[in-house]
Amino acid sequence: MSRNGLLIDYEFCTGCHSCEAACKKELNLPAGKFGIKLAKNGPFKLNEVDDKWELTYVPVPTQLCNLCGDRVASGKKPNCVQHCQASVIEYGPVEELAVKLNNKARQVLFIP
Amino acid sequence: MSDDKKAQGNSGKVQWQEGDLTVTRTCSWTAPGCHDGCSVLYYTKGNKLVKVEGDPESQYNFGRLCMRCLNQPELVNDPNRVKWPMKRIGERGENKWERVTWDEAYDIIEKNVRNIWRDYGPESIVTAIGTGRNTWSIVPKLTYSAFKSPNFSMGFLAGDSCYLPRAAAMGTMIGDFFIVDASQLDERRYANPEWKRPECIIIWGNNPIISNGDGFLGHWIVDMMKMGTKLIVVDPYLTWFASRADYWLQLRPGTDATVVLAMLNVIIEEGLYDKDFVDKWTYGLDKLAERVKEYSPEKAEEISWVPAEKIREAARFFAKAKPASVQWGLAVDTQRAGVSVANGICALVAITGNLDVPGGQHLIRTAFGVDRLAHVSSDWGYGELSPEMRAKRIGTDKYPLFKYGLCATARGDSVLEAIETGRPYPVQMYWFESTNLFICTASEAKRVYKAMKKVPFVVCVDPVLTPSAVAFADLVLPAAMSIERSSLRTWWTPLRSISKILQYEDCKTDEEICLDLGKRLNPEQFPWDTVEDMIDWALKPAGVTYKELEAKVMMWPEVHYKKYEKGLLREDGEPGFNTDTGLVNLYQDIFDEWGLDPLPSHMEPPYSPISTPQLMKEYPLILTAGSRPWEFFHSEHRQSATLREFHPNPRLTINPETAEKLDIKDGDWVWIENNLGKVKQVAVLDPGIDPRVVHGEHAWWFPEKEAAEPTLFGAFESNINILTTQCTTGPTGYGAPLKNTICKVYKA
Amino acid sequence: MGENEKFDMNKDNTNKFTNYSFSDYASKNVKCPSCGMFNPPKLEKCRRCGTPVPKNG
Repeated sequence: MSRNGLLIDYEFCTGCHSCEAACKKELNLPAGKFGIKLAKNGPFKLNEVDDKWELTYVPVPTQLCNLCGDRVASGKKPNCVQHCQASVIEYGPVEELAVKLNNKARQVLFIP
Repeated sequence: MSDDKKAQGNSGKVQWQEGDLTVTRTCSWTAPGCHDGCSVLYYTKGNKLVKVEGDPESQYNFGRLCMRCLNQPELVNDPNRVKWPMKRIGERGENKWERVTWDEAYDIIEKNVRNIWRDYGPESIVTAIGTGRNTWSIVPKLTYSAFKSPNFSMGFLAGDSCYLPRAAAMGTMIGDFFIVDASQLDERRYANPEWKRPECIIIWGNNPIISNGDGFLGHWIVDMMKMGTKLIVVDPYLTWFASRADYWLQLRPGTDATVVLAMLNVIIEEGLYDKDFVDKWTYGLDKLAERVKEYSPEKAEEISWVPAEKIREAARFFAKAKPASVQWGLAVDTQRAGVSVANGICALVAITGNLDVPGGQHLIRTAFGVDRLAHVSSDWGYGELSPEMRAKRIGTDKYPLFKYGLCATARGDSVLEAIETGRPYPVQMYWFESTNLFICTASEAKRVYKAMKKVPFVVCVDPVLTPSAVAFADLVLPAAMSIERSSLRTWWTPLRSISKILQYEDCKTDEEICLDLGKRLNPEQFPWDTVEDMIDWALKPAGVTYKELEAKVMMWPEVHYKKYEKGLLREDGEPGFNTDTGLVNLYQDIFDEWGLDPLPSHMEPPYSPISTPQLMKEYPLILTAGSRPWEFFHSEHRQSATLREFHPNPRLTINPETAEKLDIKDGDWVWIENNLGKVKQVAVLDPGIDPRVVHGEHAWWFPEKEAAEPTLFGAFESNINILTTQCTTGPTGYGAPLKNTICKVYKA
Repeated sequence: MGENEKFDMNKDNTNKFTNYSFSDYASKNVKCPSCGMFNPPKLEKCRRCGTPVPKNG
């Protein structure tokens, strides 16, 4: 059986923290602990010629992430996947996600 | 989504059990607050909220939810909430209270109201609410019908600078509200074959993924970006949207009028407007064309700092995109030229032919016409006041636009002056419901604090004991939160029921309080036995009862585009817009009649490099304020341990170059100071802000600190509105410089 | 009651309701037979195209 993972389209991650908050509620985590945590890069100007900027967020699952086994077993999506306001986190078998990973740039696949 | 529904096995159900938890499908709309009314699943155990999830079956928020709603249990279950009516027994500010029954509280209110009616007249009673809340409909009814006063207000909000300048501009120019069409009007959403993806959206003066203002869920724009929608962002700060925009116009705060007028200059001069639409449906393009000649992109660059070439390119890009729209926000309102900026943006979307086309700027009214209880309309009961009483609404004598704007209210600055001077008449009673006055809405916080102490009788209705309640209230009434209330939501669509699931202590809902007092004070205007009767009455246009709506959870109306061609906008059924001319008024005769400039123009902020160059030596930085954080809605949510973990302290955003010169490091506490006072926030170094500008956060207080004065929950420590001004609006009376004043910054 | 009457104008979802005082202003004006603009009843010629405007009977 295939492992499951989280495919994240960080081009459109807005950094809204819903994944972190949803995860904290699901795993009942105290202050300072996270099952998924946002990383931030930027903002900085990519070059001086045009006015393009780097400002990127990527949620990174931690070792506390259990991919919401109980939720998934009852037919729900993992809590971060469901509540992600930009709908940039996808859950599923790694083989399927790998195909999607190859279809678009600025994505990352995590297997927690 | 259909697989998920099957898997859940609870598709379409309103309530079910999951283990020992009861799950209820409903809508959440303040308190705790925001502008939106997302579909939620409340998980409760007995009389306790355990968790909140988004409703995966909702075509409104698609099961998604923000961190504030996810953390709702911490707010709902907060042991420090107001639990029962409390009467002040110490001095104001001492935080000494005595528990009273609802009947005792109502007796006190009724006695005061009747005495004021007799001795001063009903107009001496002023009420106030905060933005975006359910109280927008019920408190007007309470004010007009129960207290018989015309003075419902947005608190002391300077220039009524929250949507009302835009609403006024839309009212006289277009006759209706507009909103970006993200196909949120149709249950099929993006699959509606009639809908088109916008080619371009301008995001003007807001960060909608956080603020979600005016009944629009910001992440819908992210959905559309994934489908290919391009962005132009007008903002002094590099928001997430700005980082992904084709054009980011980084302007000096408070100069938006020059940018929009220069864009119009380019579009008109280069003939890029929709000639057919302009010929058929607008009035006064020739006069607008004359006016915008004064605003070349080069002139705009001088004032706004935005490069002229960038303005040109953005204007062309927008004009050529079909369809296109503007997601505008609070920064449009928060300047003296607020109405002009709004008029300019209305003209921009109109002459490019984007009004009411699929994927354009939709002319929107509430679902099924249900706006009582369900919408942010402020006119419920106003029509029943006598014309003499209506004429007494504070501020309308000097500012005629306040009589006619959509959602018109008593003018906040004028209410402040009335309290201070007793003119045109004294304010004897002040009722504030779900608003935190000098902590949040008001500018010049110390002045407002001083004024409020003078009002003889003050009532606060709130779920939380706020600094405003402690400082001013003679009586505090505990308001129920959304999960404890039966009510409605449209603003704008779909029609949603709000179901009462819990009862917290002795709290009553805003609806119950209004009906209870209404029946005591003016029963003819409250012909309902129960709140449910009142809700059923409000639902009549939709042809359902509250019970029937609860069973459906939500109802979607039909969508109509180009309503001006079909005679769907005007009361007389004629084609055209619901304006005095039946057309979009690019030139406003009615402004001329009122002694106002009938065309848009720029007006400098009262404190700025151009208005007060000499003061810039002492206060060299431009202070903008109040952009929204993810964690908080205005002054709410500071009690939540989780949200404070993410955002423990107020933040001042400052460019690293500027910080280096001032020897300020990331994380330092700094003073922000100008001629009105100083406050303390934590510096965050960020190159996304111009080195000449700093941004401070608004609405900070610290529920963990001492409640009694002088600490008052830290009300004066970090409150950015100590540095902003009241009573400095433009000639329309709308729009004040909340986001464009000046300051200096130094290490604390 | 009056409130009800006003409110029920939109009961068929026709969007023909007058919620705002500005509508009163809008509905009193007279339509120009040529260009379709509504003009205040006191005007004899249309402000937009100059065509004589009929008096409201």
